[in-house]
Amino acid sequence: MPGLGNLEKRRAEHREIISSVKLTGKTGEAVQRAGIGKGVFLVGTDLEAMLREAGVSRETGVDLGLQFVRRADSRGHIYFLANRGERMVDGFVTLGVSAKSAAIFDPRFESRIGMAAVRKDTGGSTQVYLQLQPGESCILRTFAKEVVEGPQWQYLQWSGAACAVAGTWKVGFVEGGPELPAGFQTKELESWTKLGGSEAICFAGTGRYTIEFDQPTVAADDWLLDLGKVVTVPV
Amino acid sequence: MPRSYFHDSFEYYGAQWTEDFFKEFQARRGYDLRLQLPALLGEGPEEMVSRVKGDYRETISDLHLAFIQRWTAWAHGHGSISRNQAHGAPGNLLDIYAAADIPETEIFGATEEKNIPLNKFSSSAAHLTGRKLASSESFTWLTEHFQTSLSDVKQAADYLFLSGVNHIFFHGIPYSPADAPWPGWQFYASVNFGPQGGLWHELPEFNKYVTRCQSMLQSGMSANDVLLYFPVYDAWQTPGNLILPNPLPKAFTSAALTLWERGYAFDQLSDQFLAKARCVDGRIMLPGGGLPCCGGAEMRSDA
Repeated sequence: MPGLGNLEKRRAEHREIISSVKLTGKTGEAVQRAGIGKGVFLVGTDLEAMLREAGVSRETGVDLGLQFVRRADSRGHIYFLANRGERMVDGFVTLGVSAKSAAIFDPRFESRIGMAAVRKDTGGSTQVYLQLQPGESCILRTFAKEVVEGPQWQYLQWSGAACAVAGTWKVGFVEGGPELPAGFQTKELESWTKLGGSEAICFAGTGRYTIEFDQPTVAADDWLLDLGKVVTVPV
Repeated sequence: MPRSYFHDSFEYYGAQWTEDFFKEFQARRGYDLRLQLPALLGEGPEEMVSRVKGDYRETISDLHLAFIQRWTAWAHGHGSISRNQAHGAPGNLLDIYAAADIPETEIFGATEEKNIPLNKFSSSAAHLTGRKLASSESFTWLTEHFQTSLSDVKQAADYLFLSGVNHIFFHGIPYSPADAPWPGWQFYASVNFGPQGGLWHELPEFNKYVTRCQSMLQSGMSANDVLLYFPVYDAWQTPGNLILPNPLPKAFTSAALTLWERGYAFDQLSDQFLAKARCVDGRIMLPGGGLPCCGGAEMRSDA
């Protein structure tokens, strides 16, 4: 009971209210209950045990490194999902809400959209197949009662070994300062601070690394250009 | 006419009194603070000191809240709306965010998930009141000058979206005269998103990303399952410094972080909104809409 004003009167009121809350269950049980009106108080020291008791579902994607924010409208739910972990998420992820179908949007692109692979697990929970690299995010739009038709989301499946991009790189400087350094060529990919002269060491701004290479001969629908670790601040 | 009037984070350092404070205190707390000045200054039994300081802190909070409400009404009277950063205030942050049309949080430096309970007050205020937008002052001092990459910025924006923000403001583009030599003028606390900051040409791509995310996050309504009670009195009723910016009880932040880490969709709830909550058809109804499920409370049991 906080504060000083009318303290005894407020304490008496508080005692009366508290005495109307009758806990059932033995002392020492993880969760005790007290029915009051149409509702129930759960009392305990283990927050998750109480949430389970109350039947609150959780988003188990967090166990894989995902975080989420969730909204709803008349047709279903809208998730913003981000992989905050250090490993790629590549598999079915159980949702905290029920859905018949779901669309994935990659917000980095104007029209990279597709219908997700959706299934129910043995307990009847909805699962959606997600592929998210560390740091990657997507919008997941679920439909509670409709099976919405549309082009499938293009999941990545590796169809061959990676091919190195090798040859001579042209390094040029586009914009920045204090001076635009002269361009140069290199066979090794490195920060310009390590490859260029004294002007390049001082340079802050935009550089352009250019190379031409032949398309690999492995059969594939699509190609992923792995830029490796892009260094923005040389250490 | 400005679209909205803006109140920055509470930085009225040393502000702890106002002319009619004794009168306001008497009216709000029901006793004469002039008779309890030793306790207010920390003299006497600790419980008494804590109670009187707690009442003082609640009154300071009430008065700042009344100011934000009056300012918002003034903005409405002038055909505009209010956008407020409550953080930094020695008050009930949730209620103070909720008093403005657009509650606005802030990130400062590298984003850390331990700040989620503080950041979520603004989006919770929007959800509880049914306001469409929860905004953010974003990327303030994210890294040192000229060392911020768009991938840093994207991760910070994602953090904000995850905290419930759906309306990002940049901090910022420093003014720099056209004839200022490279690299132009800087502002100490800004990531320089301006023409000479190194991110200028790529910024439109990033803005498209933000636009696409926000267009989804501004549609529908928030769909969280749990309301976590914010027991501000537990922070107020303590014997320490009179002015407590961002009063967050440890048990509260720890419970909020448990919910966050374990994947529970939650909002934070103050006494004001707890009193407004109604149960309709098994759902908790608040001014901003309904929740399917239950409230959670982390409360100190002492009387």
